Amino acid sequence: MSFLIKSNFNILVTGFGCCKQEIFATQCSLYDIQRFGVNFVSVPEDADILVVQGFYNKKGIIRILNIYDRMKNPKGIIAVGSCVLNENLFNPGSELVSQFRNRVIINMHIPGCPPRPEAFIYAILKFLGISMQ
Amino acid sequence: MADNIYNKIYSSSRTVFLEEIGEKLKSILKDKIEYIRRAGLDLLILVSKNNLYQVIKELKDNPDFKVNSFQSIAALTNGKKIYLIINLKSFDNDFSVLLKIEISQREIEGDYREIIEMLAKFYRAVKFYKHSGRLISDRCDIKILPRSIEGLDCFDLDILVDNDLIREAYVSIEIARIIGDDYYKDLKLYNLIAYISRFDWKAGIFPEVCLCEALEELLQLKVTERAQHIRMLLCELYRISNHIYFISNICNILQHDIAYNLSLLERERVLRIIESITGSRIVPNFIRIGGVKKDISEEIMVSIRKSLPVLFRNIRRIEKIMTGDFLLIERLRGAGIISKEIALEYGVSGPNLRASGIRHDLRKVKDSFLYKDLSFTIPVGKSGDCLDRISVRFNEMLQSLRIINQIINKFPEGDFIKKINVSHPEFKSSEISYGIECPHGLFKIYLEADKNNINSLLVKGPSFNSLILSEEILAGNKIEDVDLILASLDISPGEIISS
Amino acid sequence: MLRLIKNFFIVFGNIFRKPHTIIYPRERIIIPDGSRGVLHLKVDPDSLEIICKGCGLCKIICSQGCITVQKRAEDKGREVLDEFCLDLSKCIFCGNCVEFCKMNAIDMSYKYQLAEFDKKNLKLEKTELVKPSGTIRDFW
Ligand code: SF4
Ligand code: SF4
Repeated sequence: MSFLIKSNFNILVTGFGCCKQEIFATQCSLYDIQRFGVNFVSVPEDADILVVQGFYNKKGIIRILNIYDRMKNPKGIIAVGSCVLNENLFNPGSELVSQFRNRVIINMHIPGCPPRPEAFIYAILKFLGISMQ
Repeated sequence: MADNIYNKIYSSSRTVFLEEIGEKLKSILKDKIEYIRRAGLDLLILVSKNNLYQVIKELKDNPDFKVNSFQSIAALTNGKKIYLIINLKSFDNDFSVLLKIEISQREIEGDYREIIEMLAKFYRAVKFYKHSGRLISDRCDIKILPRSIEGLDCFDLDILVDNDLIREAYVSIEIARIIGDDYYKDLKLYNLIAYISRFDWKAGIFPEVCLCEALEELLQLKVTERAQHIRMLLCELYRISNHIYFISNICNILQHDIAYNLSLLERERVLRIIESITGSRIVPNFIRIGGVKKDISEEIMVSIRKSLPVLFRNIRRIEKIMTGDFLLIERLRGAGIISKEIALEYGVSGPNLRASGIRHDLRKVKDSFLYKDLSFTIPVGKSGDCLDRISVRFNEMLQSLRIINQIINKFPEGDFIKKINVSHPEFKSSEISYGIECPHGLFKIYLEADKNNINSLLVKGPSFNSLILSEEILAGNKIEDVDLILASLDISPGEIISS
Repeated sequence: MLRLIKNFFIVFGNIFRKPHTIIYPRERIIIPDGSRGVLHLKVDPDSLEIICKGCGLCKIICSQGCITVQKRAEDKGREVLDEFCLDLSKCIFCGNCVEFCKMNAIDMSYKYQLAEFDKKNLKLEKTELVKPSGTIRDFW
């Protein structure tokens, strides 16, 4: 019966960066992420998972924290790319990203710059607990 | 001595022409300027702040120069001094000037405001710099936050409306200012090449090519024919992948699912060829000073040759599907018209300029690449609306396929790289500005180097001009067309963070 | 009427066409030669020893500072690798370390399926880097 409960999985992608095109490439019919019931949405209230990627400055960080607050429980965060996992590539001194990492709990880390589309699907499947055979 | 040989290798009518104009300017402006010299493609003029007004007035009003297009303004630090670099261009006489102004340490903000105020008297496009950072949120009617579509995600938009027509639009790029001041200072050259493709991530090879060619010109190095052919091949492949991604974005906004899926499928096909050559899909890190990183093997050639007809057929099919749908055509026709004069005045370049009917392509003008040996045409549009911008890009893809076909048919033998000392190169100490035709327009790099390191670096992409222009053309359109018009300008966010 | 017949044949043809979609966890795309994945420490096929001597050049080259190398002197003055650690969360897969290595001791594997719940697991030790990357290439 579990597949009836777990019917849909909504993702909200924020920020701008090179990883974004690789995330949206999973929508195309070659990878077709919608087979697993994963949808890309644009309203925070609908989303289950927030995908954080790309470059941020002070204002951008405040904005994602706002978006994260507006999401309904249960919720989670997936961090994509070394920009979020480590530090901003073009502003190495800034502490903003590490401050952000301390404020929220990141559930899944995807390394790579940018990661391949398969890696993103793999992370989602791992999150959903679908076995990889 | 070295200068003599250098000029002989690269001698062309273009440099002679630029030097002539430089002489003319020198005789007219005399004591108002400090010096004037040629830096790569442009004329570099050092002006003091007090004389700036007279110099620009002379440049703009004299019929011999007619510098009527404003390109960009940027700050630059060299050692302890701070300069402002203003780039102006004359389309009638086809040359561009860089005005370099020293500003004092203490009053950076005040001086900057003063210069902007002064420039705004001459050029309409400077209006953007006047209000940028100070949005009118308190009195705007609609506030549009960044959306999740690629290209529309790095700026805020404030709109004043009249019923359902837009009266005024204001763009703010506050969230896109993320670049530290001197990220390039303690980077080695090989690491800088690995980094710089993030400045245009829709087509990652172009910043690398631009940087490496600028440095080669400083080193007075000539690249072998095979390396140039490999570079051209990659440039055209990335051009196709960028344009097809643009088409998929448009289809996403118009909710045309069939064309959306088909175009993303073709993009994967092109990216696969690119990956088998360079080793990465988005950030190639493939161009080296003096050549390229790896040779292209015969296997890859065969696979390219096999997939060319398939690509051609499928792109034609997508075009047929889109142009056969009259609902779609009606929606696109007449939206977001850019007239010739406005496009020139705001310094737009690339397909957006060609769509409004001006035949200008750096691939035909400049002769550093081997494009002059290949036969291809430059597609132009008529009225400059969204439909033209899309059809120009479709035709450009087909022309790119034609170029690739010619390149792989006469691939020359020989070395693919010239070995030089990468960790300690010796530059001719001077400044250079170098441009290249990237899928969005004219991609420019300005750098100053002394004997063995880069002192200052400016990267300037064409998307920023398109973004400034969007303020102008949104007025008078319907609200539901905002996304469509902005997406049809093909804005690459990587170029906006760099300005 | 003509259009109807034409459309019928298109649909009929599409029934027997192979689908574009790759059923991902079961089938996989072949990664082309020379694609850049996780670092891999090469092993000498005869003596089964790691080729890397721990000279530390890649540590200097890397702009992100994600490699840590330590060497240790054994008897008879031979130098062997003591510790090699790669922090995946910092690596940007630029491939410069491979290009500059004088011994040709490292290369880039095809391993791309990377995602971890815990950030600590992204630090790979020597023993993990030596392993050949599981299924190198699957065909479809
Ligand atoms: S992690 Fe790398 S690919 Fe992703 S946004 Fe940052 S620089 Fe771009
Ligand atoms: S690939 Fe680049 S970032 Fe990663 S370890 Fe090698 S040099 Fe460092």
